[in-house]
Amino acid sequence: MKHHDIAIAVVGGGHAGVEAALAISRMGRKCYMITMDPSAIGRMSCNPAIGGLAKGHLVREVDALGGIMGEAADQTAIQFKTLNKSKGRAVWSQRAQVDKIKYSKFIYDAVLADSNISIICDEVVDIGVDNSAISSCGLRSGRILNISSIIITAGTFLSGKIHVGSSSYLAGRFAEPPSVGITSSLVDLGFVTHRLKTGTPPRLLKSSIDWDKLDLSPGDDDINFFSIKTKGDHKIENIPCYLAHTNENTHKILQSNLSRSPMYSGKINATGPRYCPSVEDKVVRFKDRTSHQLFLEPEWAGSKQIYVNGFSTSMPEDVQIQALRTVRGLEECQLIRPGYAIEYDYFPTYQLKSTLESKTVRGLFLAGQMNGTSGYEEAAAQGLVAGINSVLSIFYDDSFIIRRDQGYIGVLIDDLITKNINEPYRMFTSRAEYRLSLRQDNADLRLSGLALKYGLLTKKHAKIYNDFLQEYQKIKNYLHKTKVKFNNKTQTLWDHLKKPESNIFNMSIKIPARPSVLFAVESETKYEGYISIQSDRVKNIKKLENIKIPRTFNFLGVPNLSSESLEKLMIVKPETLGQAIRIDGVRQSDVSMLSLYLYKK
Amino acid sequence: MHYLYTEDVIIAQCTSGGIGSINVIRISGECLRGLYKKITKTKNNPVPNTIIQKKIYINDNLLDHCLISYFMGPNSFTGEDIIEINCHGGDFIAHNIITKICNEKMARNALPGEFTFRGYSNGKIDLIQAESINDLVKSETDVFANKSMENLGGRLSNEIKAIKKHILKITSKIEYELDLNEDECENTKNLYDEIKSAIDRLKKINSSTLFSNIIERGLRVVLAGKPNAGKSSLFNHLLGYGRSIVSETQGTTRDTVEAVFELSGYRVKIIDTAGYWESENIVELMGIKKTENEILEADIILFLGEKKLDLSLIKKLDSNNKSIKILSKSDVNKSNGYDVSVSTLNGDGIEELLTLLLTRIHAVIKTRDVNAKYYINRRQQNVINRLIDSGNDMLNQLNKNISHDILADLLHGFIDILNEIINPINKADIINEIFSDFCVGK
Repeated sequence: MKHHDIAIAVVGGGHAGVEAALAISRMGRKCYMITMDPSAIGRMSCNPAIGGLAKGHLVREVDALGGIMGEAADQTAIQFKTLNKSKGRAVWSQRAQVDKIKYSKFIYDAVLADSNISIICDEVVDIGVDNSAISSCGLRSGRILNISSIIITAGTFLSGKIHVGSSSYLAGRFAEPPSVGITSSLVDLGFVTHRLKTGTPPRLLKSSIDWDKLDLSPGDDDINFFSIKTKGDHKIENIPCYLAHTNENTHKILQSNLSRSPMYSGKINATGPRYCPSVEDKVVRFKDRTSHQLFLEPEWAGSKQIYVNGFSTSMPEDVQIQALRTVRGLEECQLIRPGYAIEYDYFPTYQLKSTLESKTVRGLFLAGQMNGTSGYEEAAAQGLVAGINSVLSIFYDDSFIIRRDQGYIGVLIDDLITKNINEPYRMFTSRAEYRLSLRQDNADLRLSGLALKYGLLTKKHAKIYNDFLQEYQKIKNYLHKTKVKFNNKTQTLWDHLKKPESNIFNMSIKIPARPSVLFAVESETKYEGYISIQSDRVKNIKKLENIKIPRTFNFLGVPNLSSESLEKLMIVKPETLGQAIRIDGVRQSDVSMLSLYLYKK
Repeated sequence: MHYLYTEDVIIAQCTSGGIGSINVIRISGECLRGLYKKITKTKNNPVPNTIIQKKIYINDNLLDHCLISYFMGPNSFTGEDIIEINCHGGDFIAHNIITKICNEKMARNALPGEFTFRGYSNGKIDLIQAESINDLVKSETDVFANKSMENLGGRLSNEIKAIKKHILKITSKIEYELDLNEDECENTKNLYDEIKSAIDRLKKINSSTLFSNIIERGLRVVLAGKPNAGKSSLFNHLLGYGRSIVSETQGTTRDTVEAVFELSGYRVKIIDTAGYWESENIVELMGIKKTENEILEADIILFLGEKKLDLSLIKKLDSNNKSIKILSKSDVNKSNGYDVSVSTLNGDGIEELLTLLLTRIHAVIKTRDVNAKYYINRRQQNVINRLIDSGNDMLNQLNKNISHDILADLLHGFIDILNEIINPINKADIINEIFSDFCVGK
């Protein structure tokens, strides 16, 4: 293969594109970043928050692998909160309210300052393939770039179409044009594409809200930041959010106007997200609920613009305002911009390998929302993995795959390539069978070692991680070695810590260590016993992961598979038996037949 | 694994060999219309679910006049097409038809249990149902046959599925809370009660363990007493009364003699022991040792005595109080302290003894209500016991205010074990073992 000075093109400057480009650069390689609007690099197009349930885990993992998202959120946060605090630390998740303007500026500056990234303001309209491998891409301006790999992170821009009530227009995002060339290039290459839909709520004018009538939702005083690189004494503003509630009048207005919602009038027939439904969806689907919670978030510090989380809608503007004004505290509210729904092309991910590279075209990677996911965090994780793998694929003939037992990123990508995604995919902790060991507190311990091996961390980051690791091991040794007498029984501090009531922060430990280290060690003691039960249980699954299915495997040769299973297996072409068992629509008895067949081989 | 080649057409004789009026041959495969038309020399497709008289030919040679049925997949026992041929009896004809069909490469000989395995792998039956087919065939008594039939009909499977549904509901509530509800937590007391109710249902199934083992292996009823107490007479008398299933095994007087008969639907193995007396003769001591072992393993002891003094012997031998004390030769002996007096000479007391024995059987299996019981085999017992242990562990942890991420994990583990009863994944060894226990033709 011939290598040019710049061999990789990243298409798009959103959360996926940014992580991809920066990862390529950290690995010492150069890339183009092709974006239709460089000023939109790192833009948060929806809610002003990073993290959340299960998403916080993803941000921690992106950080442990050298990504920028955690650091950017830490540096631009206006509030931090640990969610699920009452339910066990494996499901504790951080969520940061961030200043959207500062956040995208932080990212923009980092990309601009990176000499390995060449930003091109243009639009990709054609993808050149030679001998089943990427050779070039053509831009709207007529320029042609000779490259060996392309990472497409087009978000909702591919043939994007915005709907507000009965009006609709082509757009990639609010006030941004769509991208139309890429889909047809991919379809020409044999890719299958479908439509998905997502939405965003209206933004309200801050001064039009009666804040005294709303409930306060403050952030934590004691903050655990996302990034290991963020200094413990870092301070943030801690601006509160507010809670409001819809009522029966709100629901009545939405109900009686359903025919004007493009989702219900049949104008949009793409599938929307079940887990982040529009407010009209909620009213229809949960008829017996008389109220839904709304979360009013400032979009940046001193923002006049307020994001109404929980009120995603594609209703006409007049209905939006009418419904919102039934809510206590919002009686006089004014819209800065209405909520809208957006329809876009996505590419079913069974067409990709676990590296996010196409199964058929070498060097072609897809990442982010166009893969059917929802959320900044899911996009960032994919961009990072695609970026790393594009470098490994071109320069080292190697690959970087995180297993399901190593991280949520592994769960995410494995799910994408095996599950039938028919609604935007959002990360949940329940998707992880190794949930107890995939905690936020051990993300660095789980992944940074691997990252070092592949050269994914900056020198500075590597040093911080190694210091962390050393402290961690010192404390662990100390706890194992030190014995205490408790209720006339002598035991090690390690075992003593397993008790629900014992707390590492109340112990006099002679070795200095930062709180995050102590916390990680304590979690390990407390979960050790349960994780060993968990690993017994999933040993079976793991065995299946190790059974490789050859790429040329003929599923038709396996006797007696049901035709529906056979069809799915032949489309998805699972790489291991473990993947096969997770494919939607493949019957258990068929996997059992397949396993018998492969065992025999 | 040998059940793998399920694209093959398989054939086997379902009836056991020997002289009989008819034999049944079963053929199963993906599409058998062609085979049907070829061996019956007809042009039309067979009509499913009918029986029709046909001549069977192989290459123009007439083999037999038969009754033949056609079942079309997936609505058949194996989920594939099935042909069943009722041919004339005797060892030759069925064997001849099977051999010729195999020689023509139209089918191959089925392995033991292979028809049932296909039913299982095509989702027609679950594992409990597959096992029940084998149990049904093996059963020698009404109760065992009825209980196996209930399982084949899905009684046990349905209860297990209902418990699974219940547990899934609890799990999804917790998962919802963990993934979508940032602030609130499910009420621990409610969770405790809901999990406990599932465990109680499992315990109810598990209470059939003893019952199941006894209907499968039968009850051991041991006759004991001093020499010449009338044990052998009673032994013969009881066999004459009940339906003898297995012929008695011959032995010397110092050995035990066994026979099996059915009493009110139960399999009862009755064991006649050597008379019990003090001795210093080595050979006789061995006989005595054997008697002691039998008594130890007995579910019920029938102790025969002739006078009050004899009762001290059974008091010494039976520490678990599982004996019925019988005063024998009641035509000549009189004594109190016995449960029942019997004379094999005139039949006095025999009916009373049998009633007493049945009462004792019910006491042993701890039920009078057979309908409420399940038959659960050893494999199922093992899984259910693991479920109860894991469930109790969960309740203990809940009492200690376990966090819900861990609880959810324990629930997932519990569901995995539940699946093992009905549809184990990746457990080729278990599945192999179950089906290889079958006879050919099933």
